[in-house]
Amino acid sequence: MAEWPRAPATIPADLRSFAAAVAHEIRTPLSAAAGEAEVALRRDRSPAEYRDALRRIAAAVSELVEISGDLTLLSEPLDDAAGASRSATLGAIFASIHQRYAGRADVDVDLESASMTQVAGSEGHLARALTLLIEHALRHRRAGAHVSLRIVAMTGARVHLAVSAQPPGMWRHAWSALHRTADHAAGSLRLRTARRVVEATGGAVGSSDTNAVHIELQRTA
Amino acid sequence: MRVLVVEDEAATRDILERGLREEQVQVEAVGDATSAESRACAGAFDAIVLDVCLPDHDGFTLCRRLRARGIDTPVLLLTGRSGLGDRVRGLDVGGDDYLAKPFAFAELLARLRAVTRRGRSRHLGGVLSCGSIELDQRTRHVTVDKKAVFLSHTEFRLLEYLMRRADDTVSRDDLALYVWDGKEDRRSNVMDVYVSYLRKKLGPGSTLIRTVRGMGYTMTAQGGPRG
Repeated sequence: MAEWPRAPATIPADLRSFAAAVAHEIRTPLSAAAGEAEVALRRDRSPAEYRDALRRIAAAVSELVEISGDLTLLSEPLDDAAGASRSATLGAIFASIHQRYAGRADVDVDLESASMTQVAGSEGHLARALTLLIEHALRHRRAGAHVSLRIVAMTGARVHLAVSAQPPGMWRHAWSALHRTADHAAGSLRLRTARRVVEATGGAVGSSDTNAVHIELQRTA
Repeated sequence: MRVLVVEDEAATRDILERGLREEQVQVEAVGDATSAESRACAGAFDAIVLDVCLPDHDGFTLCRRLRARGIDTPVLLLTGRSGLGDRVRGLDVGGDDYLAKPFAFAELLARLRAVTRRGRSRHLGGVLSCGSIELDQRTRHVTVDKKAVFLSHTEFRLLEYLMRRADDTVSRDDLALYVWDGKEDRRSNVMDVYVSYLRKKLGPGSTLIRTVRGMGYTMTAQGGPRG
């Protein structure tokens, strides 16, 4: 029998922390889906109740599909991940995000501020990155905070966007998570994916206060 | 059984609430550690199901803070982190048990039953005392100046709740929720009637219960005008 090469004795700390963050992200929708199924099957129910349970399970499965998509994005070469060679219209990106949150009074995508401005990156990837930052704000906002996405300014070759939670903003814990690279906290997979996509297009993600995440995108001609 | 669920993920919080209610468990659910701390201190819960990853503080910190404040309600930590280090840390900060996501609902129920049994035995023999009033939670025996007082079930629950929260102003909302299990409204005069019954039976101890106008009631060892 041909001996296989020995596996590395240790796994890098970064990889371990990343794997732990991903496992956490996966377990959350998985436990919602498993819990729904188990509770639904505990007793006989009406067809409407079964339909509701299936709807909620489908929503949890969609979340798992999105996590799998984010992992694929992270595994792609940098150029492919960002679609850096492509360009997209901010108006179209905002419109697709607006559609996702249609009917939600606590999320406002400022379509009026979006324009025909072209930015580096693919429409789908940038929309996903901005959606992930909105999800981060939604998950970590203080009770009653309203989340919005808007264009703040255009300076030279940059477009400045903000995902804000106003008032009373986000918890400090969520804000500081943006500044950590090897972060175990919930949401870190979202942040990693969003940052990778934005930074691969020549943009940047950061924050200066606990109420907003600032995103800079590169304008194209 | 009355359980406080602390979980920031709406879908998981929702299924925990519905699943537990179907098992005749009274559930209150919150999504952050700050609200959880305030509810845990205000309410008389039999157990707390506490997610470790919360948006403001982590569950370990909350658990440690509750224990430091003298809240010994059994805590079942619920988390997506299942490593040995996290399990040990959870138990070291005062958690009573640990369950990793995804979990089987049947196991959650069994663990809740187990921690509440242990919690009850922790309270066995626990005697609450406020001024001249003593209340034995195990025998349900109440004395004022060492003389026995006989209370109805509701009167006993009302006195126990006020004594557990001695020196706090207990709101009418809290009384409606924790003494009448949410079956009475804060404006209902049923609670005034029961406070009046209780005062009559407590005799000289009645002055320890003061009315805080527009808010509710407070119980202090020194007592004072009824308000």
